[in-house]
Amino acid sequence: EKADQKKPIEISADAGTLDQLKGVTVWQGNVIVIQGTLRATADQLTVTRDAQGRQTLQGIGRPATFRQKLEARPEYVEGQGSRVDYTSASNQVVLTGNARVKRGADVVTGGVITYNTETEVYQVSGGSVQGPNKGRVTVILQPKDEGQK
Amino acid sequence: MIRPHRLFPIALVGLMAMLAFWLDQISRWSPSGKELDPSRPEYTVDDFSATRFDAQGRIQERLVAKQGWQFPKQPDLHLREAVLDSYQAGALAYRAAGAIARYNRQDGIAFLEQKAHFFKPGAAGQPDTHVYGSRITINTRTRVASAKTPVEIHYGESIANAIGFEYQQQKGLLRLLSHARVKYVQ
Repeated sequence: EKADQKKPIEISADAGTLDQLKGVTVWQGNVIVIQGTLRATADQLTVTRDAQGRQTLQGIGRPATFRQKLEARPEYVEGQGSRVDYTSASNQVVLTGNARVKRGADVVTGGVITYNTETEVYQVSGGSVQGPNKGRVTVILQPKDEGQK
Repeated sequence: MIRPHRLFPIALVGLMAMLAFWLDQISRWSPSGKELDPSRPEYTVDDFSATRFDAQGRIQERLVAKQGWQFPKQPDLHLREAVLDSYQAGALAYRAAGAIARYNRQDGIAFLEQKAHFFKPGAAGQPDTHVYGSRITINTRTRVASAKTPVEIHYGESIANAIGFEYQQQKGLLRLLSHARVKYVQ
Protein backbone atom coordinates (compact mmCIF):
# COMPACT_ATOMS: atom_id res chain seq x y z
CA GLU A 1 0.00 0.00 0.00
CA LYS A 2 1.07 3.61 -0.62
CA ALA A 3 1.88 4.34 3.03
CA ASP A 4 4.70 1.80 2.79
CA GLN A 5 6.88 4.20 0.81
CA LYS A 6 7.19 6.60 3.73
CA LYS A 7 8.22 3.85 6.16
CA PRO A 8 11.88 2.99 6.98
CA ILE A 9 13.34 0.06 5.08
CA GLU A 10 14.75 -2.74 7.21
CA ILE A 11 17.21 -5.11 5.52
CA SER A 12 18.90 -8.10 7.08
CA ALA A 13 21.40 -10.38 5.36
CA ASP A 14 24.45 -12.53 5.96
CA ALA A 15 26.76 -9.76 4.69
CA GLY A 16 26.61 -6.36 3.06
CA THR A 17 28.86 -4.04 1.08
CA LEU A 18 28.18 -0.31 0.68
CA ASP A 19 30.11 1.56 -2.03
CA GLN A 20 29.59 5.19 -1.10
CA LEU A 21 31.27 6.55 -4.24
CA LYS A 22 29.09 4.57 -6.66
CA GLY A 23 26.01 4.67 -4.41
CA VAL A 24 25.63 0.87 -4.70
CA THR A 25 24.89 -1.49 -1.81
CA VAL A 26 25.00 -5.28 -2.24
CA TRP A 27 23.39 -7.55 0.36
CA GLN A 28 24.24 -11.25 0.21
CA GLY A 29 22.77 -14.38 1.77
CA ASN A 30 19.26 -14.79 3.26
CA VAL A 31 18.30 -11.25 2.36
CA ILE A 32 15.02 -10.02 3.87
CA VAL A 33 13.61 -6.56 3.14
CA ILE A 34 10.72 -5.12 5.15
CA GLN A 35 9.09 -1.74 4.49
CA GLY A 36 5.70 -1.32 6.08
CA THR A 37 3.55 -4.14 4.64
CA LEU A 38 6.09 -4.93 1.91
CA ARG A 39 8.25 -8.00 2.56
CA ALA A 40 10.79 -9.24 0.01
CA THR A 41 13.33 -12.04 0.12
CA ALA A 42 16.31 -12.89 -2.12
CA ASP A 43 19.68 -14.61 -2.15
CA GLN A 44 21.30 -11.35 -3.26
CA LEU A 45 19.97 -7.82 -3.36
CA THR A 46 21.63 -4.90 -5.11
CA VAL A 47 20.40 -1.41 -4.18
CA THR A 48 21.45 1.43 -6.44
CA ARG A 49 20.79 5.05 -5.57
CA ASP A 50 21.32 7.84 -8.10
CA ALA A 51 22.24 11.45 -7.42
CA GLN A 52 18.54 12.40 -7.25
CA GLY A 53 17.93 9.77 -4.57
CA ARG A 54 15.95 7.48 -6.89
CA GLN A 55 16.48 3.82 -6.04
CA THR A 56 16.51 0.62 -7.99
CA LEU A 57 16.52 -2.72 -6.23
CA GLN A 58 17.49 -5.96 -7.98
CA GLY A 59 16.89 -9.21 -6.16
CA ILE A 60 18.14 -12.58 -7.37
CA GLY A 61 16.92 -15.75 -5.76
CA ARG A 62 15.57 -19.24 -6.02
CA PRO A 63 13.14 -17.60 -6.26
CA ALA A 64 13.25 -13.98 -5.21
CA THR A 65 9.88 -13.04 -3.72
CA PHE A 66 7.88 -10.04 -2.61
CA ARG A 67 4.58 -9.63 -0.78
CA GLN A 68 2.66 -6.42 -0.15
CA LYS A 69 -0.81 -5.46 1.11
CA LEU A 70 -3.15 -3.94 -1.43
CA GLU A 71 -4.39 -0.38 -0.95
CA ALA A 72 -7.50 -0.12 1.29
CA ARG A 73 -8.19 -3.84 1.02
CA PRO A 74 -7.29 -6.68 3.35
CA GLU A 75 -5.75 -8.63 0.44
CA TYR A 76 -2.11 -9.07 -0.52
CA VAL A 77 -0.25 -9.26 -3.80
CA GLU A 78 2.53 -11.86 -3.86
CA GLY A 79 5.12 -12.16 -6.61
CA GLN A 80 8.16 -14.31 -7.33
CA GLY A 81 10.73 -14.84 -10.03
CA SER A 82 14.34 -15.77 -10.54
CA ARG A 83 14.97 -12.05 -10.62
CA VAL A 84 12.95 -9.14 -9.28
CA ASP A 85 13.71 -5.55 -10.31
CA TYR A 86 12.05 -2.62 -8.54
CA THR A 87 12.35 1.02 -9.63
CA SER A 88 11.13 3.54 -7.08
CA ALA A 89 10.73 6.38 -9.60
CA SER A 90 8.13 4.43 -11.64
CA ASN A 91 6.85 2.19 -8.80
CA GLN A 92 7.45 -0.72 -11.19
CA VAL A 93 8.33 -4.28 -10.26
CA VAL A 94 9.57 -6.54 -13.07
CA LEU A 95 9.65 -10.27 -12.35
CA THR A 96 11.75 -12.33 -14.71
CA GLY A 97 12.16 -16.14 -14.97
CA ASN A 98 9.30 -18.42 -13.79
CA ALA A 99 7.45 -15.27 -12.90
CA ARG A 100 4.31 -15.65 -10.84
CA VAL A 101 1.98 -13.06 -9.29
CA LYS A 102 -0.94 -13.91 -7.02
CA ARG A 103 -3.34 -11.10 -6.15
CA GLY A 104 -6.09 -12.04 -3.80
CA ALA A 105 -7.23 -15.33 -5.40
CA ASP A 106 -6.12 -14.46 -8.98
CA VAL A 107 -2.87 -16.03 -10.27
CA VAL A 108 -0.75 -15.10 -13.30
CA THR A 109 2.36 -16.94 -14.50
CA GLY A 110 4.66 -16.27 -17.43
CA GLY A 111 8.17 -15.44 -18.52
CA VAL A 112 8.11 -11.77 -17.52
CA ILE A 113 5.55 -9.98 -15.35
CA THR A 114 5.55 -6.23 -14.86
CA TYR A 115 3.60 -4.99 -11.85
CA ASN A 116 2.96 -1.36 -10.89
CA THR A 117 2.73 -0.99 -7.10
CA GLU A 118 0.95 2.37 -7.51
CA THR A 119 -1.83 1.36 -9.93
CA GLU A 120 -1.70 -2.32 -8.87
CA VAL A 121 -1.91 -3.27 -12.57
CA TYR A 122 0.23 -6.08 -13.96
CA GLN A 123 1.22 -7.03 -17.45
CA VAL A 124 2.48 -10.50 -18.34
CA SER A 125 4.40 -11.80 -21.33
CA GLY A 126 5.33 -15.38 -22.08
CA GLY A 127 8.98 -14.73 -22.49
CA SER A 128 11.07 -16.86 -24.87
CA VAL A 129 9.64 -19.97 -26.55
CA GLN A 130 12.54 -22.00 -25.16
CA GLY A 131 11.64 -20.85 -21.67
CA PRO A 132 9.89 -23.11 -19.17
CA ASN A 133 6.54 -21.52 -20.07
CA LYS A 134 7.19 -22.22 -23.77
CA GLY A 135 6.34 -18.56 -24.43
CA ARG A 136 2.88 -19.13 -22.92
CA VAL A 137 1.04 -17.12 -20.33
CA THR A 138 -1.41 -18.48 -17.74
CA VAL A 139 -3.99 -16.32 -16.03
CA ILE A 140 -6.44 -17.64 -13.46
CA LEU A 141 -9.10 -15.13 -12.48
CA GLN A 142 -11.45 -16.20 -9.73
CA PRO A 143 -15.12 -15.27 -10.20
CA LYS A 144 -16.07 -12.41 -7.95
CA ASP A 145 -18.82 -13.07 -5.41
CA GLU A 146 -21.97 -11.00 -5.90
CA GLY A 147 -20.93 -8.64 -3.16
CA GLN A 148 -17.44 -8.10 -4.60
CA LYS A 149 -18.48 -6.97 -8.15
CA MET B 1 116.26 -1.20 47.05
CA ILE B 2 114.51 0.36 44.03
CA ARG B 3 115.38 4.06 43.87
CA PRO B 4 112.47 6.56 43.61
CA HIS B 5 113.64 7.84 40.26
CA ARG B 6 113.12 4.33 38.89
CA LEU B 7 109.67 3.88 40.56
CA PHE B 8 108.22 6.98 38.90
CA PRO B 9 108.00 5.61 35.31
CA ILE B 10 106.48 2.34 36.53
CA ALA B 11 103.85 4.24 38.56
CA LEU B 12 103.18 6.46 35.57
CA VAL B 13 102.58 3.44 33.32
CA GLY B 14 100.22 1.90 35.86
CA LEU B 15 98.34 5.17 36.25
CA MET B 16 97.97 5.54 32.49
CA ALA B 17 96.69 1.96 32.21
CA MET B 18 94.03 2.58 34.87
CA LEU B 19 93.02 5.84 33.18
CA ALA B 20 92.67 4.10 29.79
CA PHE B 21 90.57 1.30 31.35
CA TRP B 22 88.32 3.82 33.08
CA LEU B 23 87.83 5.90 29.90
CA ASP B 24 87.02 2.74 27.98
CA GLN B 25 84.33 1.78 30.52
CA ILE B 26 82.86 5.28 30.49
CA SER B 27 82.54 5.41 26.69
CA ARG B 28 80.83 2.02 26.68
CA TRP B 29 78.26 3.01 29.28
CA SER B 30 74.73 2.73 27.65
CA PRO B 31 72.76 5.97 27.92
CA SER B 32 69.76 4.41 29.71
CA GLY B 33 71.89 3.50 32.55
CA LYS B 34 70.66 0.51 34.46
CA GLU B 35 68.36 -2.07 32.73
CA LEU B 36 64.67 -0.90 32.93
CA ASP B 37 61.92 -3.16 34.25
CA PRO B 38 60.06 -4.29 31.06
CA SER B 39 56.77 -4.57 32.97
CA ARG B 40 56.79 -0.95 34.11
CA PRO B 41 56.36 2.06 31.78
CA GLU B 42 59.54 3.83 30.78
CA TYR B 43 57.60 7.08 30.89
CA THR B 44 54.03 8.35 31.34
CA VAL B 45 52.49 11.58 30.07
CA ASP B 46 49.29 13.05 31.48
CA ASP B 47 46.65 15.25 29.75
CA PHE B 48 48.61 15.75 26.58
CA SER B 49 47.97 16.65 22.98
CA ALA B 50 50.37 16.03 20.12
CA THR B 51 49.98 17.56 16.64
CA ARG B 52 51.73 16.63 13.41
CA PHE B 53 51.80 18.93 10.38
CA ASP B 54 52.12 18.16 6.67
CA ALA B 55 54.62 19.62 4.22
CA GLN B 56 52.37 22.68 3.72
CA GLY B 57 52.20 23.30 7.46
CA ARG B 58 48.59 22.12 7.73
CA ILE B 59 47.46 19.83 10.54
CA GLN B 60 47.88 16.17 9.52
CA GLU B 61 47.18 14.34 12.79
CA ARG B 62 46.27 15.41 16.29
CA LEU B 63 46.29 13.07 19.26
CA VAL B 64 44.71 14.13 22.57
CA ALA B 65 44.69 11.79 25.57
CA LYS B 66 44.13 11.71 29.29
CA GLN B 67 47.25 9.65 29.71
CA GLY B 68 49.93 7.99 27.60
CA TRP B 69 52.68 5.58 28.52
CA GLN B 70 55.23 3.36 26.85
CA PHE B 71 57.10 0.26 28.02
CA PRO B 72 60.86 -0.08 27.49
CA LYS B 73 61.86 -1.24 23.99
CA GLN B 74 58.17 -1.56 22.93
CA PRO B 75 56.87 0.32 19.84
CA ASP B 76 53.32 0.73 21.23
CA LEU B 77 52.19 3.96 22.79
CA HIS B 78 49.46 3.06 25.27
CA LEU B 79 46.67 5.61 25.74
CA ARG B 80 43.71 6.28 27.97
CA GLU B 81 40.67 8.39 26.91
CA ALA B 82 42.35 9.03 23.57
CA VAL B 83 41.07 10.90 20.50
CA LEU B 84 43.03 10.73 17.24
CA ASP B 85 41.98 13.21 14.52
CA SER B 86 43.32 12.61 11.04
CA TYR B 87 43.21 15.38 8.46
CA GLN B 88 43.44 15.43 4.68
CA ALA B 89 44.41 18.70 2.98
CA GLY B 90 43.62 20.47 6.25
CA ALA B 91 40.07 19.07 6.59
CA LEU B 92 39.06 16.44 9.13
CA ALA B 93 39.06 13.08 7.32
CA TYR B 94 38.12 10.97 10.33
CA ARG B 95 38.27 10.77 14.11
CA ALA B 96 39.06 7.66 16.16
CA ALA B 97 38.45 7.57 19.89
CA GLY B 98 38.76 4.92 22.59
CA ALA B 99 38.64 4.63 26.36
CA ILE B 100 41.74 2.41 26.11
CA ALA B 101 43.91 2.45 22.98
CA ARG B 102 47.29 1.46 21.64
CA TYR B 103 49.11 3.21 18.80
CA ASN B 104 51.99 1.42 17.10
CA ARG B 105 54.12 4.19 15.67
CA GLN B 106 56.21 1.83 13.55
CA ASP B 107 53.34 0.53 11.41
CA GLY B 108 50.87 3.35 12.09
CA ILE B 109 48.15 1.07 13.43
CA ALA B 110 45.83 2.23 16.21
CA PHE B 111 43.96 -0.35 18.31
CA LEU B 112 40.89 1.08 20.02
CA GLU B 113 40.33 -1.50 22.69
CA GLN B 114 37.46 -0.17 24.76
CA LYS B 115 34.44 2.00 23.89
CA ALA B 116 35.72 2.43 20.37
CA HIS B 117 34.24 5.17 18.20
CA PHE B 118 35.14 5.94 14.60
CA PHE B 119 33.68 9.06 12.99
CA LYS B 120 33.82 10.24 9.37
CA PRO B 121 32.26 13.58 8.45
CA GLY B 122 29.85 13.39 5.53
CA ALA B 123 31.27 14.70 2.25
CA ALA B 124 29.31 16.67 -0.39
CA GLY B 125 25.93 16.59 1.30
CA GLN B 126 26.25 12.97 2.46
CA PRO B 127 25.44 12.25 6.11
CA ASP B 128 28.11 11.70 8.77
CA THR B 129 29.16 8.12 9.55
CA HIS B 130 29.66 6.96 13.15
CA VAL B 131 30.88 3.47 14.02
CA TYR B 132 30.60 2.26 17.62
CA GLY B 133 32.07 -1.00 18.89
CA SER B 134 34.03 -2.65 21.65
CA ARG B 135 37.20 -2.91 19.55
CA ILE B 136 38.16 -1.17 16.32
CA THR B 137 41.50 -1.30 14.52
CA ILE B 138 42.57 1.63 12.34
CA ASN B 139 45.47 1.51 9.91
CA THR B 140 46.35 5.19 9.64
CA ARG B 141 48.62 4.50 6.63
CA THR B 142 46.08 2.67 4.43
CA ARG B 143 43.15 4.53 6.09
CA VAL B 144 41.25 1.31 6.75
CA ALA B 145 39.11 0.83 9.88
CA SER B 146 38.00 -2.69 10.78
CA ALA B 147 36.65 -4.88 13.54
CA LYS B 148 35.78 -8.54 14.03
CA THR B 149 33.38 -7.88 16.90
CA PRO B 150 29.84 -6.45 16.90
CA VAL B 151 29.53 -2.87 15.65
CA GLU B 152 26.74 -0.36 15.25
CA ILE B 153 26.96 2.12 12.41
CA HIS B 154 24.96 5.34 12.21
CA TYR B 155 24.73 6.82 8.73
CA GLY B 156 22.59 9.91 9.07
CA GLU B 157 19.35 8.56 10.57
CA SER B 158 19.94 5.04 9.24
CA ILE B 159 21.41 2.46 11.59
CA ALA B 160 23.27 -0.72 10.65
CA ASN B 161 24.41 -3.54 12.90
CA ALA B 162 26.83 -6.32 12.03
CA ILE B 163 29.40 -8.65 13.47
CA GLY B 164 32.63 -7.43 11.95
CA PHE B 165 33.12 -4.61 9.47
CA GLU B 166 35.77 -3.11 7.26
CA TYR B 167 35.74 0.50 6.03
CA GLN B 168 38.18 1.61 3.31
CA GLN B 169 38.01 5.36 3.66
CA GLN B 170 39.88 6.17 0.42
CA LYS B 171 37.48 4.08 -1.68
CA GLY B 172 34.38 4.90 0.39
CA LEU B 173 33.79 1.14 0.69
CA LEU B 174 32.03 -0.23 3.79
CA ARG B 175 31.71 -4.03 4.23
CA LEU B 176 29.53 -5.60 6.91
CA LEU B 177 31.08 -9.01 7.42
CA SER B 178 28.22 -11.02 8.93
CA HIS B 179 24.77 -10.84 10.57
CA ALA B 180 24.18 -7.56 8.75
CA ARG B 181 21.05 -5.58 9.54
CA VAL B 182 20.14 -2.05 8.52
CA LYS B 183 17.22 0.23 9.26
CA TYR B 184 17.35 2.65 6.38
CA VAL B 185 15.47 5.95 6.94
CA GLN B 186 14.88 7.85 3.68
